[in-house]
Amino acid sequence: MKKHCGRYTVTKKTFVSRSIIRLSFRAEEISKSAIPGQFIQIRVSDSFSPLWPRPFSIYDADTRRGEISIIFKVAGYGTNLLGGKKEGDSIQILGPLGNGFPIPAGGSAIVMAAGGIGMPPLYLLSKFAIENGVRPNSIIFISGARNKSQLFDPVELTELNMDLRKCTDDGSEGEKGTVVDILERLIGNENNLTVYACGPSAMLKKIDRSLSEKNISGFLSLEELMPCGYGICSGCAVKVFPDENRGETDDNRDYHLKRVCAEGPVFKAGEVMWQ
Amino acid sequence: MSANLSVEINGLKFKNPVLTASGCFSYGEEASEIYDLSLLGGVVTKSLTYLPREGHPPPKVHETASGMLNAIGLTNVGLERFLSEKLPFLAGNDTNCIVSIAGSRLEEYARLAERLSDEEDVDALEVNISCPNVDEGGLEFGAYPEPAGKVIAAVKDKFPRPLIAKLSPNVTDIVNIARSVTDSGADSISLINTLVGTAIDVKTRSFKLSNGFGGLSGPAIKPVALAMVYKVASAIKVPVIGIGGISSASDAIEFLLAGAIAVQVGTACFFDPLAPVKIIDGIREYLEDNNFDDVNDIIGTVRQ
Repeated sequence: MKKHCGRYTVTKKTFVSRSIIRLSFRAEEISKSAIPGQFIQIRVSDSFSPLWPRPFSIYDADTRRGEISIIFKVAGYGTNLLGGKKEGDSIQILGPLGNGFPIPAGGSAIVMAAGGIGMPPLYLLSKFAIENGVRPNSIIFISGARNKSQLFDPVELTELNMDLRKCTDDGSEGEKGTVVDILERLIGNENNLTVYACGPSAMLKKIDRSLSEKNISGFLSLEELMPCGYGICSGCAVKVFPDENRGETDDNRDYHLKRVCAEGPVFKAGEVMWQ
Repeated sequence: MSANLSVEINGLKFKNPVLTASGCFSYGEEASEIYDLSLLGGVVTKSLTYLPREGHPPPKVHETASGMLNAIGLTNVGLERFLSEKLPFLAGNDTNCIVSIAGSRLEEYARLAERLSDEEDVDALEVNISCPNVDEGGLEFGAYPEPAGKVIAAVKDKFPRPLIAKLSPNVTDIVNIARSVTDSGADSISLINTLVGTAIDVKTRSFKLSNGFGGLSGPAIKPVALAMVYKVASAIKVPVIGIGGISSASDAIEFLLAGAIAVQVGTACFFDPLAPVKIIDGIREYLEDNNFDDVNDIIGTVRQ
């Protein structure tokens, strides 16, 4: 699939909260082909500091305006530089990258499990699912974070009219508890559902275990730092269970490696060998 | 008229002196979704071993100041899958295809060379005797002049087209190794592979890479690479290919002035996918701005 690399202009910058920022870019070709779960690599500085671009899930793709958006939390050196960009600035972007989620078409119940920074791709997935004929109120969207100020809670999420269940570890917004707590309660009663999850790897690992215990299908979107983001360096590879028909290898490893950027970032539940 | 960018290594013509470095371009398919590979002087594949290799477990990479460490561990598809899946794709592009080979034994290098000699689409071999990341993967040959020469002689015996020896900087005297491999039949030398390095997590008091040590690459190593290229190019007669932190046309031109006939772009392909194409355009502009009509006229012309 064609990937686009170039300098794109920041068209809009809004603060979702004090440290959570939404940036939109004029990137017509990327907006047309992007699907939920795909990401872009942004080179946050034209210098060599930091050296690697940073990956961001596509939050929204507006084909009419030819724009794509991301939402991110200012958390480190790279996101700090990105947060300093202003409308009109141009920045190197590569995308769209990776394999997205399969788009739900209804049938079984749908649960989105978004932990902190995992919200953006699941918002876009919900939007696509609804456009695909899924009834908004049949989607349970769990959005959680440590506390209210860390919660990714843009107004567009509420506007989709899904069964939105917010939660925080300290109870400062929504229900008190983690995304995993709420999800486990849900799947305790029901197993004819499909779970789509994105968030920190500790959360994904727990969700993956719960899903396999109950034999529930799901898709998990992983996040890794990536030197290239388009499959040429193999630096972001994660362990998966090896194929029985793998044949003889030179180094006899008990795992197989898949590149998060190219074979992922979305993996089927049960596929990843967690560390 | 546009300046001539083409260069030649032992009869093999490159349309321009910019190649992509081994391990930094996979087998070319991914980058072809971004730009036309026919723009490149050549593609050097990920190092190939006889059987496929998974490589080291994660974490395999770590970002450093103006550079990065990697311990990929020669992950590759192995010879058979390369021939059936990867080579046909590369051959469909109008650029030189250089296959990098690595082995744990002398016989593995020879066996790979013999099989690849049957494939007309393989324009040249780059012999990796310098991978720092696997116990048995090359550096035990590349660290000393005599075993380095033996590998090259074994490959030369089986492969009739140009042979490039890729050297490690992790040695006491790289010029000695360069002499040994050219005496053994290398038609060209490419340098440098990565510098051995490591990083430690002070919170967990453990190494940041699963393999402990890795290879340092990127802009941080350019001055080291440039000095080594200059020394080797000054001492030996075969063409030298410069590698190490090249990220811009100006970087590439420094290597040409130091005596490299061509360059390979590695880590820059990660953070700037279009870097090789920008470098080709930039070299052309430099030649025209400085009234040179042939890139060969600037090679090795740094003033003393």
